[in-house]
Amino acid sequence: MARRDPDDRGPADPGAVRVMATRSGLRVRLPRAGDVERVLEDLSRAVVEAGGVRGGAVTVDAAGRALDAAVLRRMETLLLEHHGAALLQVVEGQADDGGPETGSPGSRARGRSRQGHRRVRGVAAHGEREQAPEGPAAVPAGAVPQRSGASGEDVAAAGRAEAADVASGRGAEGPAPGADGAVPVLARARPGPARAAADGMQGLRVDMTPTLLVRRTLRSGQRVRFNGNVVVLGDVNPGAEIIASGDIVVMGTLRGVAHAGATGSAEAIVAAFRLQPVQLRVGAVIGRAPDGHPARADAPEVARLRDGALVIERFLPQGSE
Amino acid sequence: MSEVIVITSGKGGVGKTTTSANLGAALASLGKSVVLIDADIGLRNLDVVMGLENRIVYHLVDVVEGYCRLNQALIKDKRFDNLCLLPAAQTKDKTAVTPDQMRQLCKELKAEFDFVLVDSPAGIEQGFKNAIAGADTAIIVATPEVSSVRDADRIIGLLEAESMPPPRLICNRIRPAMVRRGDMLGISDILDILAIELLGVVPDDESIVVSTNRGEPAALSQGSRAGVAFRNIARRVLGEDVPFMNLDETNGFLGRLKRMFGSTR
Repeated sequence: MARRDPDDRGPADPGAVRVMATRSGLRVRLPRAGDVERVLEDLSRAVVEAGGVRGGAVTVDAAGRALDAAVLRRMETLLLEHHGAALLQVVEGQADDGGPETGSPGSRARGRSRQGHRRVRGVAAHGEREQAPEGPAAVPAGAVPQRSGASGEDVAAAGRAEAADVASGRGAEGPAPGADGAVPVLARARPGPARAAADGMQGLRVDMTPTLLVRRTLRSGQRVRFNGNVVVLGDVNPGAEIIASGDIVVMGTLRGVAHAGATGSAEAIVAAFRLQPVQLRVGAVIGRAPDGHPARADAPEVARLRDGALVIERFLPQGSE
Repeated sequence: MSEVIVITSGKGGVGKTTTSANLGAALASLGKSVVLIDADIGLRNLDVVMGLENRIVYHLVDVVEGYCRLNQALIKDKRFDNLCLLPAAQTKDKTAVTPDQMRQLCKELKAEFDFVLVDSPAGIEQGFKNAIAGADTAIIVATPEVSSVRDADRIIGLLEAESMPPPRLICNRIRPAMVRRGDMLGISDILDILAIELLGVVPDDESIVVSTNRGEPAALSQGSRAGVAFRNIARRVLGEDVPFMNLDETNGFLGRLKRMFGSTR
């Protein structure tokens, strides 16, 4: 096996998978030779030995190997289902810096030019940037206890009287003071015309943050964490979790847990064709479905923060009304 | 005097989680402070049966890994202030926790609650070892099936090997009519094999399915016969001497008529 890579550094074991922790996840270098099955097995073991994928994203350095679509797909599935990690990008050859890129989320152009010499393919072609979301730990510890006692009534009091009909599932239980847990109940609201118009203006912004496309249904126990937006082409079942620093869009039914703006953004949204989550988190705010019979969504909806409270609204496409 | 009780069975699907939820709710309704630990990491269910799934923010693995404080992960029940749940993680597996960590966790909870009920996963592997690690006593749940009794027997042996006191037995899903016909193992058949103290007998009851799906323990609803059985079990756990339910008792007009005429059936 001839060495083709002139700037190859590190231990000279061409048959081993090498793993390097970066700020937003793992960087994995595949061996230049070896059976695919063996490589995938080694990859999985190496990820476990590295203590899992902290930042939720894996960059794979193919090191000149030809990876066809089927292998990429298997690698993506392996990382997602066994390690809860997203395959962020596949690069070929050795990058000159080898390490994580630093820089603000806004420095995309700079990040791009630095990667210019790599041929990037695969899932999402973006560099690693800010600290990845750290899951529930990213929620300020005080957030939930402080909202103790808050419930559907609180949301209704925030200026949307119609919220009451959505939280109606609680009616069967009757008012039970103090019986609620600390997590405030989610409520649905229909925005008035003025509010809708304002939404339309806001929606004109163009989002350039990295976006991960998940082409499958996420089942119980599966988790996607991504430093950017996440779009799911499928459902998110109860027991599944999506944690994203940006927005979350589910082209299906969201029944699990979604945490948008996990690094603290209060601007983030969660949208779904059918929004029936067990629990939603945006930024540092947590909301849960009402007890009893939850309101069934019958149209695409979007959840966002308004005046510090999580509110679910009908999704209004641009230019409607 | 607090007590850590593990609810286990070996075999899956015999009603460990249902028993945990109902026993916890019944003990809480009798005024005891209770914490339920879901030790079934990766296949969590107890939160759903308790109707508390939507309140989960942190879980058991977060606690042992130091991501959060213990009382941040405890979810207060919506019916009883003195009932709490420590949910399992769904995205991890049994290896995320060690028996030593569970022992420590049970010790901390024991200091704060009258009863710590640990809902064990099925099987005899690490999840089971974790579940029993911190327990003072065990309750075995068995259904009147040969396979369930076989597994329960194995579990009793494993608990003996851990030098735990002899466990107590709950026979779940008994169908008196089938036992009478000789189509189902009776309580005495099961006790012949297992030879442990009987803590309670729970009749097969459709209301369990309904209450499980609704997230409301049957022990709290007056009409449920299984609920009555669980309330009796809770009282026996507290040391009361409660007679076993008459399983032959049929509800409704016909049953009353039969009793009135002294029918022995």
